Amino acid sequence: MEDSIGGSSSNDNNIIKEQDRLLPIANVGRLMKQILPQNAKISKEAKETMQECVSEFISFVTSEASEKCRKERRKTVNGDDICWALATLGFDDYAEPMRRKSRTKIQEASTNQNDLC
Amino acid sequence: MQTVYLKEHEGNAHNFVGTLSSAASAPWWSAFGSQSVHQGESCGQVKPFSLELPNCIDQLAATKPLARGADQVLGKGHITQFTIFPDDCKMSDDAQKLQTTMSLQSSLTDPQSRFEIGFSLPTICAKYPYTDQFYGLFSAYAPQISGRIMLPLNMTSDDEPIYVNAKQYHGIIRRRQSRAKAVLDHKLTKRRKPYMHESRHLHAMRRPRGCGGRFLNTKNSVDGNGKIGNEVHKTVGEQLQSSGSQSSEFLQSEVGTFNSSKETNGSSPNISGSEVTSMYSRGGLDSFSLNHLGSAVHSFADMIDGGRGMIIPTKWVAAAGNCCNLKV
Repeated sequence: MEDSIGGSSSNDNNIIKEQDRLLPIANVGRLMKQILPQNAKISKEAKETMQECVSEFISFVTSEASEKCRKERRKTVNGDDICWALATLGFDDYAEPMRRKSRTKIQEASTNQNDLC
Repeated sequence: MQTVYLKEHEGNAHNFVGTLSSAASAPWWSAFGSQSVHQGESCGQVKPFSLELPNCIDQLAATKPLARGADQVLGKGHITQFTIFPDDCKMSDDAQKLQTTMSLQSSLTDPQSRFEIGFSLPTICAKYPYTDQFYGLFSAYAPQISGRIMLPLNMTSDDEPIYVNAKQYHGIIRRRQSRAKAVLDHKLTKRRKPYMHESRHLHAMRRPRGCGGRFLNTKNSVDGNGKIGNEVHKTVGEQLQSSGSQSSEFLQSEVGTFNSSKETNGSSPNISGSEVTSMYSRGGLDSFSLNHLGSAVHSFADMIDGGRGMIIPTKWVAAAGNCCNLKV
């Protein structure tokens, strides 16, 4: 879906960096709509504000996990590091459900490997 | 002489940290009592040297380290006398050197105190000797708040201090440094782009729009009166449903339209893909902005446009220059 009309479109660095910095606003709006009633409406400013907030939260948690990996001299940030970062920053209520979901995915992967064998 | 003075100040800073910890352990009224004892001693010390005005000012500035030194050694008096003697020597030598030394000390201690404590307390102590009591009380109150650390004031534009979770303090400071670095590298842009691609934006601006800002659909202009009635009924039904299904309905109708146009004209699939994308984004925004009354007006406008069947095809043919629809 990245096609363009009339030759190549102008992609300067600002647009690329903005796309890299923030989550897509349509996906954010869709997630916000899931929790609201059917006839509720969301303003564009609300979506933009939530887009900024969730993007900053992701950078905040990831920087904490990255700091832990730097101290342990590891280059790969995995799911356990993210759960540890959430617990370290005081988001204990979120760390446990994330750990359970992560464990479920690992079990599914193991089951698939067993089926392949 | 400067070395001796620096040592004295460092010792006083250490004493201040000790005082802060003792204030944290003891209740606030006990800390207040100890501070009143300090003030009594400082008053007693200032009186013998009140002969000259500049000497009085210097003594007031020098009394603070003396008071803190007295806090450490309450029982011993000869050390206090030893600290008074070097001040007399410095005053007899040069007043400017003393001021230079004090300014150097204040500049040296500022970054340390800034990182250790949220605000630069020694500077305020040097300027206003009577404010020390207030800040002492404030420091006594600060540890009482459980699990909260005050952010540095110089990094925030607000006048009031902001208290954050102690676990998140270092993370917040790290993120602030990262954002400041990004701003310096000119990677971060505050202004938001209204659209991503120029060519798609121009194409969307050229498309004909109906009442309410929606893009005109080919089926509305081609079909007869009977199907126009069905379309109006379907539109009313769509308004009762959620906007999600409405946007999906638009997407399906657009896909059908482009399939028919592809068969007749043989246009490239790139055009249909990009137009579907822009249509989806535009439709999503318009569906949120519409209200119930607007939709009713839109349905009435559809009936009026259905009555005048000749105008819409002309507009459609005139607007779309690159690909013409032969069905009209």
